[in-house]
Amino acid sequence: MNKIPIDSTLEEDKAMIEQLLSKDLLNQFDTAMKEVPAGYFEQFPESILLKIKSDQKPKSAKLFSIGRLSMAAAVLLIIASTFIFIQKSKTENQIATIALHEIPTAEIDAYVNSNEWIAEVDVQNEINKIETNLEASPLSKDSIN
Amino acid sequence: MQSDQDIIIQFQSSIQREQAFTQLVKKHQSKVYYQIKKMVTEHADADDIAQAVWIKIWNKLDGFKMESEFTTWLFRIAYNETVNFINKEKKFNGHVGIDDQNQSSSSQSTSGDPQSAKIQIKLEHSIMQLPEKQRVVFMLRYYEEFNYEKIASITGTTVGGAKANYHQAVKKMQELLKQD
Repeated sequence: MNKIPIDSTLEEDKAMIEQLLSKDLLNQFDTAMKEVPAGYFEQFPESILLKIKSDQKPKSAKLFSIGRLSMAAAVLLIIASTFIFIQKSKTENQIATIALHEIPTAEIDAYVNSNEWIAEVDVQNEINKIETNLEASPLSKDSIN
Repeated sequence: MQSDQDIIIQFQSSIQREQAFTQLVKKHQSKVYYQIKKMVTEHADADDIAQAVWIKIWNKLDGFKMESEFTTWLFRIAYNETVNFINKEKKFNGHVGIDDQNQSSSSQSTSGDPQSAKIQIKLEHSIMQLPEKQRVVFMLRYYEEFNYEKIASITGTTVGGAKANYHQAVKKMQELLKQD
């Protein structure tokens, strides 16, 4: 066997191997390789489908459970945030309410009175500042004249 | 019986996918199985590979564009899965298929003539010792009677390469059979 024939036919190719081994022997090998357990091909299609379905199930079940968990977590988060927000608002309002209610009237009066005095002093201070500035400014002299 | 094309169209349009798929399996399962078994010889291994092949077909059939024959594509997947299996086995066990300790299935099936059984064993050994590509090309050409274009598509080689593989396989078997 030297050169590989370019356009060898099927018959020529088969004849090549049959020169080495008898056709019977080659057929016997073929027959031997075709031995299968009884009923194998009858049950094979169904067993494949079962395997395909079982391979698919865990993925969808996982996704489904992950989805459900995510939804549940999101809902809990919303509820918790809303609760915390409401609680915070209540607390702030309560502090303001409690503070007002709990302060005695005498104290409030004292506070207001003291703040009035402070307010008067502040106003007088501002007036004094303005007058000082007016006396110090050169423009003011010119403008008088 | 429906053509492969009609069955695939039915599958791809999601009309009774399981029924369509079952039809395809029933139509081609034996050829695929025999081809795989000739490569690995053990039924358990052939069964594992065949299952992997058909599961892959189920997953990829929606994307099959029918640019080639379905059987070409099917045998291509079977070839790739078989080669992957053989390479894995070689990695872990160092060999695949028949060894001297195992009694080959063909020797069990002969009529009892020891000489005939011996030749059978030699034939099996010589085929199993071929490199995977040469072995597949030999099987597909001799037993399935595929043309070289189809064989080239299945094995991912050229027509010239497929022809060369066949002739090299025959030459190698000649050398191996001469050995004692």
